Amino acid sequence: MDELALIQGAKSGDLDAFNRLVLNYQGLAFNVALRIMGDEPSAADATQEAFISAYRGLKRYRGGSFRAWLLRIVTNACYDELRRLKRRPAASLDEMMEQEAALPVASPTEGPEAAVQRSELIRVIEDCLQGLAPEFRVVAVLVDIQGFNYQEVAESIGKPLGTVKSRLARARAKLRECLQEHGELLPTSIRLQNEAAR
Amino acid sequence: MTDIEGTTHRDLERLSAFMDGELSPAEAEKLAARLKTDKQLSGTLEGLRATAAVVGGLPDVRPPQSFALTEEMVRPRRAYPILQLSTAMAALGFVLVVGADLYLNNIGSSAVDIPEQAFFAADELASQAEERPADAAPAAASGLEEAAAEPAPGELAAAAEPQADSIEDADVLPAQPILGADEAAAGEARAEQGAAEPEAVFEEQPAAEGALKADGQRESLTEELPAQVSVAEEAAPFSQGPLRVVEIGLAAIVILLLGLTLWVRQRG
Repeated sequence: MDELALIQGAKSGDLDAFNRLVLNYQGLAFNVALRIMGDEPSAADATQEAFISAYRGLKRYRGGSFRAWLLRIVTNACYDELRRLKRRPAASLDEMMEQEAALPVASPTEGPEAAVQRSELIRVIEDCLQGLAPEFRVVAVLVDIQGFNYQEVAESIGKPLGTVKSRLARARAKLRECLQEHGELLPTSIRLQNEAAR
Repeated sequence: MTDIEGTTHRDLERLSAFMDGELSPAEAEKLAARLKTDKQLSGTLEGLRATAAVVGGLPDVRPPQSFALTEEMVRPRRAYPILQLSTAMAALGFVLVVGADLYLNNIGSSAVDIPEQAFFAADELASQAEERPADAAPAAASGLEEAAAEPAPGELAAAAEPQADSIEDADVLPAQPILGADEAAAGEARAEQGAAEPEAVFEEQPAAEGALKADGQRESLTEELPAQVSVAEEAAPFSQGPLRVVEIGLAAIVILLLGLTLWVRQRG
């Protein structure tokens, strides 16, 4: 069944049809939420909330890119979750344990040292992303991690194209500054860039 | 304004869009020409590319759970529509009560303004009438007392004249000077007779009659007042205490319901 038929079915109250859409998009939605939120439990909460909101608000979907429409709901759910977390900043011990457990383990092809380095680099990138203001982070995640084009990002965040361009340029500049502080973890290409710049 | 490595924010934006292929062909061509000669600009572009590549290298994470919805998750929220309706009703009630209050106050103030002036005028006239003969009466009385002791008709007449004059000034009450003059004449006559009866004179005091006439005028003024007076009198008690209490109560209910509705909505 194609996406449009599933959307029509879901609009008329067919929950199974909607759940098929959920299965198609949950990976994308969760990963976007994860990069915006910075931790899995909050990302999972935001993703679940987003799908519930999407189901309830499906009547407001008037065509166009369903992916962009859905991601707008996901980013809004993330903003809501961030606001909620700001009001209640204390993370539970369970959540922290879960985060630790989410760290990647060494694959059979790489040694333990390489695995540690890789996970350390991932942590640095995540930290740098978290150092950005949410509105800049969202744009960087959608373009640089999820590979969206500017038009889709503009639709997803509900802002003009110029805003997307400006936010992305600033986000990249800030990310670069942040990553340069951890030069030893960066791939050779970036390190060479840094040395040349100095 | 400059950002990284002396590159302006405008150039940074162009470089960022250029590397994503989001510049217009004309702009892209122009920038490409600059990049050939400007080493700093091309260095910044390479830096941005490398950054995007590193960030883009973040691995996708497998969702820890399925986000498929259950019937329970999407069950219609019963409390929410009820709360919405209650909030709307309370808000409407509040608006109606405030509107009624304003309307009644408006009628009250416009109706009360004119009658109040009329009442003031009537009261002033009455008090003038009461004060003047009353002032004059003791004077006349004391004159009579004096006359009883030492009858002096000339003094009594002099005492009576100003009284008559002053009352004549109040042309609204034309009967009073006559009474004052009559009284003075009577006092003079009695003084001449040497029979001092101040109490009897007091019984016929014009003050009382003047006051009665003034009251009569006030009554006639009151009768002439439009029906607005009664409306204003009826409106006044409503627009005061009880309506205000209802307004405050309804405002508190609206705020409470609104907060509750938003809270329920946020919780989903």
